[in-house]
Amino acid sequence: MKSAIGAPKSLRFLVMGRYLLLTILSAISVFPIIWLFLSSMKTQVDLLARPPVLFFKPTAQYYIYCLETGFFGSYFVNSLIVALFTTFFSIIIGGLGGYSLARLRFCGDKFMAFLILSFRMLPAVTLVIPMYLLARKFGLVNTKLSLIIAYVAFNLPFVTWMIRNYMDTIPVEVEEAAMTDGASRIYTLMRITLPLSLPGLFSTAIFCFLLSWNEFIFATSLTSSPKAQTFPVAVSGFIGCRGIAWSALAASTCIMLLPPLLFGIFAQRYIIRGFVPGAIK
Amino acid sequence: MKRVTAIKKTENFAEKHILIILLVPLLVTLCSVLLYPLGYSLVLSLCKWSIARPFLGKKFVGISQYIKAFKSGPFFIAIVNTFIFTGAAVSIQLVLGIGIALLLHGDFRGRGIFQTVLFIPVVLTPVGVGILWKILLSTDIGLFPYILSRMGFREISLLSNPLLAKLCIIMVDIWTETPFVFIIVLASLESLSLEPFEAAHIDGASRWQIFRYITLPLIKPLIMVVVLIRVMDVFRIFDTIYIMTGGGPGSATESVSTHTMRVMFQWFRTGYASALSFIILAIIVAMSLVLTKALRVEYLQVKR
Repeated sequence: MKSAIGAPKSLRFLVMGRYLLLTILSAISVFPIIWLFLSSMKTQVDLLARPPVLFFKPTAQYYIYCLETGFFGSYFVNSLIVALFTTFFSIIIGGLGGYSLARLRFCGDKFMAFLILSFRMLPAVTLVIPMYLLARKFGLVNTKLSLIIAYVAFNLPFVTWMIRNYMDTIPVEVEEAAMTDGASRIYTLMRITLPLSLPGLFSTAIFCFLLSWNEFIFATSLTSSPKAQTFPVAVSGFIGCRGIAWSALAASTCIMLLPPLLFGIFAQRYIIRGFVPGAIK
Repeated sequence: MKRVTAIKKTENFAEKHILIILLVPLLVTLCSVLLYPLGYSLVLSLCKWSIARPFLGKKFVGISQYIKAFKSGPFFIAIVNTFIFTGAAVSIQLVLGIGIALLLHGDFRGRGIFQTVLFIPVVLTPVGVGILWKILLSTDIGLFPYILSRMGFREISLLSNPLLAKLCIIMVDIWTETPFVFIIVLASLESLSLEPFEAAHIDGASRWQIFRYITLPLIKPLIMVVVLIRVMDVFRIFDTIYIMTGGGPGSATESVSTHTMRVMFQWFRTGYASALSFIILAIIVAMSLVLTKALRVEYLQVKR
């Protein structure tokens, strides 16, 4: 009954041809990724061949290259550390603030609007420039710390907003009931609100991690060596002015896309919650 | 008696004001790592400073950097390009996203798998997306130029032709972000109650009429929000352009962000770059104000 009930009649044949269309769209969605993977398994010769080879002897040599040259060692670890710390600090600061804004109605709303707007409206460039200059000033260029600070700064409004929306769904009555029973505010927070908000916090954490992992513009501006460079920056390094190391590029990109891909497949539910603006569940 | 009251009083202070106290870390952090750098940059935009030539020092020049920006040819091209990208990408994504949402709406076998597969592009690292399309589109190893050449066209790099490069950038954004649109529209569709539809059905309305006069108006608010969000996002596009074309050929795909980054990190004209970055911010703010009014967007949906 619910099936396509709002769809116009002219789409009815689409509904019947629904599977066909969805298959075509899925193919479009997935083909580039599969092509990337195939490309990463080709030797340089096969890769540059005209016409493009469909059947080839796969080689894992470029993945081994990535492992051997310490690609994994530094860049992957950097990305991981930065993402974890960013998520940690964002959740804590944003969590406390988000809860507060959810409960503080009279002044919370205006501030919330400001937060939402600032995340969506602020171009990364506008923050990158002063971040870079201030990093130079405080001697933080090419450190993971500078990235963590930048990411927390840039993502905090959004994280706070997400958490506030989750806190909104926890009825005040539950907290009030606990407090009438004699619990202090802090106790209520820790023992009642926190457990109830865990799914929301988890969702926000995943989103935050992804934002940090996928980030490029701050990373490329604030870092200059494997000491602090993150994976996306390292991968972009294969595109040089003298030429492009296609095979290594393909292999390293596959590695880079693995975490987001896994999150996308298995944690889809949680990520989607970050898209939908609050009111729709 | 007095002592008990005194203890109660201190408890009440912390308790009563805990909400404000919880807000403090957020405010402190935002002020120090968000507002302070922005303020610093704003002041800088009023100066002429080149970090490549620090011995020249910072010179306060008022708004001359902004005036220079308005007279700048390259910046103007970047703005035009960015508006083209934004307009084309958002409008196509919207139609496509609504279409996909309609396709996925309802219960049918395999729906979950389709949804997951169609969802994937949006979570991928933009740099990665740029790379995987670069692999498909550029002449060296690209599949698409080869296919086109087989179809009779001259074999050209899709990324070396000004018009085609623009189209490719737009196409990549559509590929990547349509899932964002359809997920939200789908959620919106699923939250609709059945009554209006049942009533219309009983009244003999055709499917198309139902779609046009009931479905669309009901999901319109959310669609407007999506349009607003996407416009603000596409306008700031950077990663994919940087990877795929670097702004080229020439400045065919130069966006406002890539141009400003170039001014800052290639030409080191700090004050000017700051000014540009704030002009971009101003344009986005202006656009969202206009769109909010025009589309009647509600920022906060207060569920009380």
